[in-house]
Amino acid sequence: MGTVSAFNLHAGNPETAVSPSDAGPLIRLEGVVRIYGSGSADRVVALDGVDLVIRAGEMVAVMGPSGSGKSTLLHIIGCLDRPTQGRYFLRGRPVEDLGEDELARIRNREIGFVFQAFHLLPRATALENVELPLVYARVPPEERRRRAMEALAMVDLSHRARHRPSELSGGERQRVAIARALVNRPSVILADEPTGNLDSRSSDEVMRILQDLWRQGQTIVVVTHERDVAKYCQRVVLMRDGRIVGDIPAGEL
Amino acid sequence: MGMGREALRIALRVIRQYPLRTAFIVVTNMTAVLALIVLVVIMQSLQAKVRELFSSQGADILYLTRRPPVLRVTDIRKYESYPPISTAEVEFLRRQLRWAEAVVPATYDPVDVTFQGRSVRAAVQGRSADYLVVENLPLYLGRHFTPDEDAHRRRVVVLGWGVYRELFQGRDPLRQWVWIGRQAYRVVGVVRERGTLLGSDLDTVVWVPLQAWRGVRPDVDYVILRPKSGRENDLMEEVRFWLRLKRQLRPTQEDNFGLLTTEGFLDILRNATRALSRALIGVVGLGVLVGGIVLMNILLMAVAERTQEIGIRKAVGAHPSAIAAQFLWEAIILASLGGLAGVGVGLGISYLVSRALSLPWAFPFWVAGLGLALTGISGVLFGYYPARRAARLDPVQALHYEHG
Repeated sequence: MGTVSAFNLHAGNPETAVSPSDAGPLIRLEGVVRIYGSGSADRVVALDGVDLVIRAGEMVAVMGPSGSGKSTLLHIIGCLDRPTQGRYFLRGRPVEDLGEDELARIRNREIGFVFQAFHLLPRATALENVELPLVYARVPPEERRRRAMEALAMVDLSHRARHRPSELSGGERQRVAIARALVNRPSVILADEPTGNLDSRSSDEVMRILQDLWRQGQTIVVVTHERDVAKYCQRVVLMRDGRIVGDIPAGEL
Repeated sequence: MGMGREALRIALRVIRQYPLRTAFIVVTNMTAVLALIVLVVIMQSLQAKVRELFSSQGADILYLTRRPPVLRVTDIRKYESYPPISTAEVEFLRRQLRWAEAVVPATYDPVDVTFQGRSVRAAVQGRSADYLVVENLPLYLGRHFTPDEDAHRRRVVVLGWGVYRELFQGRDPLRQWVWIGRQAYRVVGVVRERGTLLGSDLDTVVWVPLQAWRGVRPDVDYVILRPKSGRENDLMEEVRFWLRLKRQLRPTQEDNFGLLTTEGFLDILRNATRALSRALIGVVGLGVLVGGIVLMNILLMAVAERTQEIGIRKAVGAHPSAIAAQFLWEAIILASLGGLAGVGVGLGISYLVSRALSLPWAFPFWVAGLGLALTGISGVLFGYYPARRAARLDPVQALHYEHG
């Protein structure tokens, strides 16, 4: 388990697997501020002027204690949330003033989310869960099925395609979620504490799969507060009180 | 539209997942359609029955009555002063009318009819002997009475089916004497079964010659007139003219008698139906409103219950309109299921009621269509707000929403 057979063919030096794209950064945040609440009493500054650049092919860990703003950052990168101030460029395009239509399209095509609580549809099978982004991308049913099965094969869960989330282990559920995140070939996979609900063996499995995807050239951002998880990444961004306080290679942890 | 199909699929699955909730919505949404169908079908059946009855006697029959039909409560007192139609007036009309094929004076009295100790309260119909020109009364046994018998005041009687069955119970009634009130009449014929109209029995009836009956009733309740072919309006004008003349009414005075055609009678029925229709719109409107409000609230609960699911769908790229479509379809399907159930149950009930009142039962497809359209529209209207609410949920908050 854990080794992703389809990827072994391409596995190699992480550095060379990254396509040396210099068409500008994939993600660029400039002075991003996110404030919740409007009154002075309930006003919470979740992000307080974040500048961040992530290039295609990077695997970045965002680390920090709870309340440091790392999840908010991930939501903004994933277009689930909008900055109160500042600018966010995805592939060089400003995102902050896009309409609902465009944001939905970006979430569908450019972003793949993996959540701590898995967030699978409980009444749908693993296969149907993986198909979901393709449904909203209006991919025809046969192709949808084929691609979803491919994605399940990549996380080594072909044999569980007809199972519902309640019939799967925590690790298996998170692998279904990863399959769902990658099925639409997004520009970036955003994982929010992906191992937070898993035992250490499953955590290891999940992180190895993400690492394999990265070796394939997939850009990945992982939010975590665990050092062990961050070690799978290439670069670590440290956050505290809504600000970035460090940006170091994972080796220096 | 692949998206619409997906929304439809989700909606269907949800509906199957919560059978109790579905049943509740179906029941609350079917009442409007149910009321619509039952009332419309019965009103139509009534009209059909009345038309059938009239047409069996010829559609162009004219009725001259002592009082016009009561359309308003205030009419009742006004009509009280109208004089009865006298025999002299009937004779006068018979002489004057050029466009009448037949002029048949008629009386109606509920009287006990007795044979060998058995007794039935029957509608005694006094008629002049040419009554068969204006009424369609096929015989089961014997014959009708003749002009000669009428002229000579012979006490002969033709029995309705119900009276025959009740008094004779299958025995031969011909040439037997029955008591009608205090007079004895000899049975000459029996009319075939005619059924009921609006709950009134058309078979507990006997027909007697008017001349013989005149000892009991000197005046006339109404006159049945048959116009010469195509002369219905001419005859009507003529009757009005001569009767007003005979009664010496001034031009400013209203008619103090009633003049009714089959069409006129159907018009009255239609007016009554129209009044009923207005009430019906109220009932149906209320039903739609109640059903719709129940639907809306249950959907709002569903939106709350499925907040996290909505968040997930949004996170993987569902457009707000796709989320809205999902809930809108659910609303439309649920409401339409109610409509469908209403059509089904409405058909059943209207059929049973029609049978109980022995009315013809015909199913008007337009009512079913109208009912279904109504519920579909109500689904859109009352599903709109929950659907919009679902579509506008903030994805981050929705994802982290814990229900219950």
